[in-house]
Amino acid sequence: MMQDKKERSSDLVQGTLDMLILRTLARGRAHGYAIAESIHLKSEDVLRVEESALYPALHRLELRGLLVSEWGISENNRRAKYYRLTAMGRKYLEGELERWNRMTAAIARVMETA
Amino acid sequence: MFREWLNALWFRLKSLPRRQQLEHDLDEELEFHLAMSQQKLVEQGMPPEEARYAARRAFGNPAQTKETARDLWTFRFLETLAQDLRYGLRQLRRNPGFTAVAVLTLALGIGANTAIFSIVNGVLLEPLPYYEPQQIVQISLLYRGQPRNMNFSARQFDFWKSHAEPFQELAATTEVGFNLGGASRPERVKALRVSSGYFRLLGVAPALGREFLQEEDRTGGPDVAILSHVLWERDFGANPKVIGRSIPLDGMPFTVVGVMPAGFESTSPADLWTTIGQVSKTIGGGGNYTVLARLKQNVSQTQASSYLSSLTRPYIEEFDPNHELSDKVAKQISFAAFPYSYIVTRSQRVPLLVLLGAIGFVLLIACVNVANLQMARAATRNREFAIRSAMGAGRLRIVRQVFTENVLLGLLGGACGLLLAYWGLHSLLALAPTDLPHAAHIALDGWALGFTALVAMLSGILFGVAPAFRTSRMDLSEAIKEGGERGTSGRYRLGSALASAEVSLSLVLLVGSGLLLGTFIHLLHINPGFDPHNVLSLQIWTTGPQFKSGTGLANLYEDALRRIRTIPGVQSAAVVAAGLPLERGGNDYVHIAGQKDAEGFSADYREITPAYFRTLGIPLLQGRSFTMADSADTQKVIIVNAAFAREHLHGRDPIGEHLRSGEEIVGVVGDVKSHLDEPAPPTFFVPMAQVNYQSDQLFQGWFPTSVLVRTGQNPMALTREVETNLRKADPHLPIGQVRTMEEVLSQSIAFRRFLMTLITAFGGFSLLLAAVGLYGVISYSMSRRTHEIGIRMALGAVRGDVLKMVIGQGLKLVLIGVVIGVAEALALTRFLSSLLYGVKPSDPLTFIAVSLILIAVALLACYIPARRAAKVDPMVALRYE
Repeated sequence: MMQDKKERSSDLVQGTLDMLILRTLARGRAHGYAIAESIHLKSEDVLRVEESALYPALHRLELRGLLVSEWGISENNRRAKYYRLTAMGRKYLEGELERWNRMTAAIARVMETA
Repeated sequence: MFREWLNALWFRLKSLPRRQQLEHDLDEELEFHLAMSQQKLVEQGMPPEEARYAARRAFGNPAQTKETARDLWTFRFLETLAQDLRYGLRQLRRNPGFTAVAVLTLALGIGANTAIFSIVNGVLLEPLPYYEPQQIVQISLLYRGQPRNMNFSARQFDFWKSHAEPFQELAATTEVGFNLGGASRPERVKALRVSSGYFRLLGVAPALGREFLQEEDRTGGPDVAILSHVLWERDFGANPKVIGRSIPLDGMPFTVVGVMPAGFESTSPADLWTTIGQVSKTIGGGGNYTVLARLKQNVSQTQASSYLSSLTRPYIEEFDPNHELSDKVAKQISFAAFPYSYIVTRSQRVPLLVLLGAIGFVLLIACVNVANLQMARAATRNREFAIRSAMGAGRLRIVRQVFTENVLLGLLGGACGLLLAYWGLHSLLALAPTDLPHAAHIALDGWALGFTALVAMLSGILFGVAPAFRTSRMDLSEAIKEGGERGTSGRYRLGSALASAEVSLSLVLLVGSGLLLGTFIHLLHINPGFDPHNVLSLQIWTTGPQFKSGTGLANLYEDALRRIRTIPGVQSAAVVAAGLPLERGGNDYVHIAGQKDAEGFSADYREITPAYFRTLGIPLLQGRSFTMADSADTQKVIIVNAAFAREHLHGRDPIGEHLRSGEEIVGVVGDVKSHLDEPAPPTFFVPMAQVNYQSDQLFQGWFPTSVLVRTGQNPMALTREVETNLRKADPHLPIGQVRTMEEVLSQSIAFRRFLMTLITAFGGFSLLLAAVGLYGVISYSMSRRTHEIGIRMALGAVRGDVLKMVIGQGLKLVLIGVVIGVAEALALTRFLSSLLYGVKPSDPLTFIAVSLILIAVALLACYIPARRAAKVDPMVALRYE
């Protein structure tokens, strides 16, 4: 997901992307481009979504029933595909958030100086 | 997790029919994204064209995205399956030779085996259509450990009834026949006399009316009958009011008390059933009962047998008080209980088991052939596997595709096999002898079909998939470079070994059929003892009280024969009772007078009119034939055959000898066979005018009387006239089968011929398969050696040398197969010995002939690849890889 290609296992990357997408959509429905921009913005330019990974991730999440898609009109009057969270997606997000917090806390503990 | 899985399933299902729409949507979605990116860059100051390119570059390759998306719209399993099937079909179509041969082989193996097994199953193995048939046994005896059919008298049946510990029911049956009057034409019906517990024992109740009652069992009981469903429908219009009606059987009134349900068959075929009450004051002390029993629930057949065995001594004490049976013989007898079905089909058991063995062979050969074909083909596919592997196909993927292809092949073969089985079964049943038991119930056996299909397909799949496994592990570059046509020599050896195995198996089958063919030819040339050409035979029955005496019968016959002799074309005519030549006949117990200590013995017995010997062309060896002068009032006379004189008169002149009962022997005639492959039994003949009326009626219950007519030519053409004249003599005479004596002769060997036809058919198939197998192996091996052949030819070998090389290789395979086959055949044909006549199981002529045929066919199979190899242009071959 980072521009930096040297990354951890793709599993972790994949799961993290999913989580970020879901969190973004928790704030309201959006199309793919908007999601990518939102993550970029919110992370203050640190995280930039690799575009070729975005849509596969969105489609897989839709397959699993965590998202649903519908066609709508974008802000500049073009047809766009909008995604939104489902109830199941919301629950999944909560679980992933908890897991993420636990993991980062643990890493922080390990990395603590002194 | 489960919810997600369910959603995924639903999503895929939803997407399946909408692919085009989804594709379109995806394109639009990605276009939107690119447009937005482009717009953003333009807002940042980039020129539009450049912005477009930049946006695209940033996005990366949309192909991957589209692939992933497409993957989600379907079930991958189905996709790959469809792909594999299409590819498999294409492969099969591109190799029509292989496909045709493989499908044919599978079809033959599956079809032939299923058809035969269905027959064998129906005849031998199918349980009888009664309640819990495995509990039904027949009481009979073991003599020297071998089962023998044993019939009992009424008193002996009583003995068993009073010692019936292991049984919940006992019944006695005996076969009989009647002339059924009262219908438009007098009709002969087969009947079974049964004791009152019979239907209860079988567990089938009458559909109408009732069973027989116990009091109807006793002598002189009421004349009652139960009809079969078929008879009821045919002659009584299925009228339920038939109960209580009176029907004339042999002229005597019987009351109908019941009708059996449709589809019911008693243990002997019968159109109606009646009681055992009338059978007692007849020859043999009243009897000839088959005794059946039903085991009690918790009693096994072995237990019942040991119980019966323990009764052997008491039985002998009671029924042989004068110790006519020697002690030595008595010790070798014991009674036992046999599963009823075993006794029924004993005579045909061996040949049917031989057939089962044969079909095992054929199945084996078919599997071997398919395996061989697969392996030969696999070698040519190395390259294909290697290339696909190099392009990214995983090992499992390749194996799965090959597997699918082979299952497809198997299914094709199976479908053809089913058709073949169906057609084959009907053809075989049409050819089968008419007395094949349970023939009406034989149908395609689902289990057999499933089993053989499974075996055949499995072998095909196994041998098809195995090479795919091996290849995917091989060094890919090696395989592609060498053109993939040179595998390890190990596989080639296996193919050759299989081909030799096929040859050996074919040899065994062909030897078997050759031996049977030899037997058949011998049988056809046996002199039956009479001249069967141009003789017509018609079955009649003269049972019933209206004739009253032997003289009455004789007068009737002479009247009829006189009329028949006036028909132009008739040379002579006669009547014989108690059996035709080459068929089972009556026998009787006789004692020669003047031999004090000699035992009585059983001899075949026939009643004849004077012209009998002349009509059948039986030579008169000594003395005279009967004449009209021999009547009820003159000296009782008999004529004996040569076997009788040989065995029982020990070189004395038979003419002038007497039986203890007073009959004088006045003539000796030539032997006439009852079974072509057995010597003629001792037989004596009685003139019709002098027969004991009672015994004649008894024998007519079991055997038809026959009118024999010798004609100038084409006997069947005179049938109608003969029948008319018979009816003029007695309008109530039922007329049964009309056949020429040549037909009778041919029917007596019908079963053997049937068997022989079958095994020859198998032999033929297996020969075909072996030839194909050889062809496959040789062509494959030659195609691999093209390079080598090119070198040889470049170094000076001529066409002839190449031909010799190829044929030599083929010959080697065949010879190995023949040698092994001969060894196998020698070991196995001894099981056929009970079916052979005039040929030894190790008959050298048959073995040599079959071996030569096999070698010739094999050489032919090698010839085509040999010619192909020899035509190779050395330049091409050297370049060819």
